[in-house]
Amino acid sequence: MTTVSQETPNAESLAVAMRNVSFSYPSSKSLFSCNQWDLAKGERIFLHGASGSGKSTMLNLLAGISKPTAGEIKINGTHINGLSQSKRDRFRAQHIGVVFQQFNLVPYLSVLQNVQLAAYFAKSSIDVMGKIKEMLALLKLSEAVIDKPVSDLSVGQRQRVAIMRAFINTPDLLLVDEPTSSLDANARDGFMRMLMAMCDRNNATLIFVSHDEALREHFSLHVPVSSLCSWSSNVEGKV
Amino acid sequence: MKRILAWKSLVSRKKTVILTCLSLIVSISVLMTVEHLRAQAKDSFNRTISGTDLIVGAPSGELNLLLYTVFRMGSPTNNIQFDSLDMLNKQKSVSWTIPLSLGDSHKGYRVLGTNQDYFEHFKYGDKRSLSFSEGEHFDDLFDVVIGAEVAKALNYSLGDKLVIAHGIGSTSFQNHDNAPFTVAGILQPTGTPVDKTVHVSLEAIEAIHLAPAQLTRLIEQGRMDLLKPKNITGVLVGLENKFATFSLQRMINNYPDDRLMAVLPGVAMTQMWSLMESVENLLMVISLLVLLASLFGLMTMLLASMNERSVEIAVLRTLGASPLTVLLLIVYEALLITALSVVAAYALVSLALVSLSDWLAQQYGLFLSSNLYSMNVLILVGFIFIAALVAAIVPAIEAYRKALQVQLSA
Ligand SMILES: Nc1ncnc2c1ncn2[C@@H]1O[C@H](COP(=O)(O)OP(=O)(O)OP(=O)(O)O)[C@@H](O)[C@H]1O
Ligand SMILES: [Mg+2]
Repeated sequence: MTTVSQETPNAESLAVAMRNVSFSYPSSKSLFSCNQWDLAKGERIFLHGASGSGKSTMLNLLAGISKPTAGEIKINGTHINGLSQSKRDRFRAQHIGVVFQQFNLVPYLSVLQNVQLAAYFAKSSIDVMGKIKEMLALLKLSEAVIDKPVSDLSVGQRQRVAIMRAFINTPDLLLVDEPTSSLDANARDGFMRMLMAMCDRNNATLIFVSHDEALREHFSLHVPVSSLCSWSSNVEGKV
Repeated sequence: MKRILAWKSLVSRKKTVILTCLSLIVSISVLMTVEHLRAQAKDSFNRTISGTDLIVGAPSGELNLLLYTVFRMGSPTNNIQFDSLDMLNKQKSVSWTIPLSLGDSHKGYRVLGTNQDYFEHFKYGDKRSLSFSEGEHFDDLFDVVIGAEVAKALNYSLGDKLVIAHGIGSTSFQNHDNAPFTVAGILQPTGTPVDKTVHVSLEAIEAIHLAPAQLTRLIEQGRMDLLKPKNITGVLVGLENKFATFSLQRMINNYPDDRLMAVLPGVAMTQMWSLMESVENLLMVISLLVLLASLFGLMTMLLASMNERSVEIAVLRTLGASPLTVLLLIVYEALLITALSVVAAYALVSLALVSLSDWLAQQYGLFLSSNLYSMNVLILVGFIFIAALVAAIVPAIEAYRKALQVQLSA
């Protein structure tokens, strides 16, 4: 498996391939334009940048939640913005895991149901219970947690459940945005170790966004968003 | 999974959901009750008389004749001659006749003078004949046969003596103590005005109209033949052949020796029901408006919940739920709430019918079936679901819009 971007990358070996992508929010005139960007499979990068530089915007594009106005995004060789809305949603369910600071879990469902939901939308027929039990030890969660409603868990527990849920469909790409901002230093390090271990086990590509400089050390590749994409105020500035 | 999701989501907002359900339950119950009462009223109305082809009486308006002879309500009509009954009996097309003589009462219940033919030929409901729960029809001049409700309300049993007054009204000054009648028979309940009727022979009607001394003299002399009635109120006629109905009606209406009018019960009943229908329609409209109000409540509740549900919608989207799935989820919730309310309302109304039907029958003589199920109620339920679906459209579209705009993090 390749670890570094190459001159003439083989599309199949790339986790992410962006070509001439531009995007703007419906309510704003600014245009977000990106250079060509290739990311090899299995790579783990630390995506950073000032607040408002477009890190979350980038992740939304990669997840297929936002659709670029031009250009193409390929995830593991699939041209996701060429897919229909529902196919793109299905692709996300099956191939992309997400962990965020918030918006991770449905509060009124149990841990099990939250994880099952991810499998349900991916239309996968895996043994959810078996897979959860495999992951529990690694994530240092007790089995008793499985049937609790998410609202009864601590913030740290919730983030670990979020990891569990993100990995239930064995995703190829993991998108993580500020997952540790509500955790203390101890919990944060634990979280990072578990995340890395899970990526190892699943051979997942990881794109990790954070303000927290302390987390840099977990990554060998540090990418500033500004090196990939930039904002321009007028539409003529399009690449 | 979708079902669990919708259900748990409702449970997580149980306070507002329960209130919305309550308002729906009330309005659906009202709607079902109105529909049931309407159907039952129509049914019992149509059950009142059956198998009779013509009602003959003095010309006084079709509705009045029907009201007076069949429902024992309304103002008295003029009498017709007894000879006209003989004339009717002589018609080839006539199969049977029932003479009716009205105008007297017993403790508020109408007294009907008639003959044996009444017990033989009178039919109600789906062509059911009258039957006796106790005793039999009258033999003696002073025998009476009472309807089930009369027996129950006045606590009469076989052999009891009673007095029949001239005129209509529960207190009468002309009580003839010298003409005491004896209960000879009690009819089975029919759910028709028969239950509230006191039946005597035509001769007995004549007897109570004689002066006491005159009557005593007649009885002493054994001249019962002098009690032969000269007038009656009307005649129910059954025909051998329905095709003869119109020609016989024409013949009766043009009969030169008496002023007669013949009406078709079916036509008159339909005419009468159409008068009641406007009241019934008004009730229906009011209850539909009540339903509309509670559907607006449902709509408002779902719409208001959209704000607190941004998190939920965002999570579903990240997990791969399409905006359409989110939209369907809201629709599904609305239908779930409606289904719960419909089931609860159905159970509530059924329970009320079961527990109140005896009381209603006793207090108001209302015979309601406690079986709520009918095609119309089914159609009503279908309509409620469609209306709920329409009410769900606005919040569902709002959810769809929200789902489209979801961003993973701000
Ligand atoms: N839904 C939206 N509609 C319009 N503009 C938006 C929307 N979301 C983000 N933006 C704008 O896009 C720019 C980039 O936002 P983004 O959230 O990607 O930044 P970020 O790098 O993730 O910042 P932070 O580190 O604070 O999370 C900002 O200027 C923001 O105002
Ligand atoms: Mg951000």
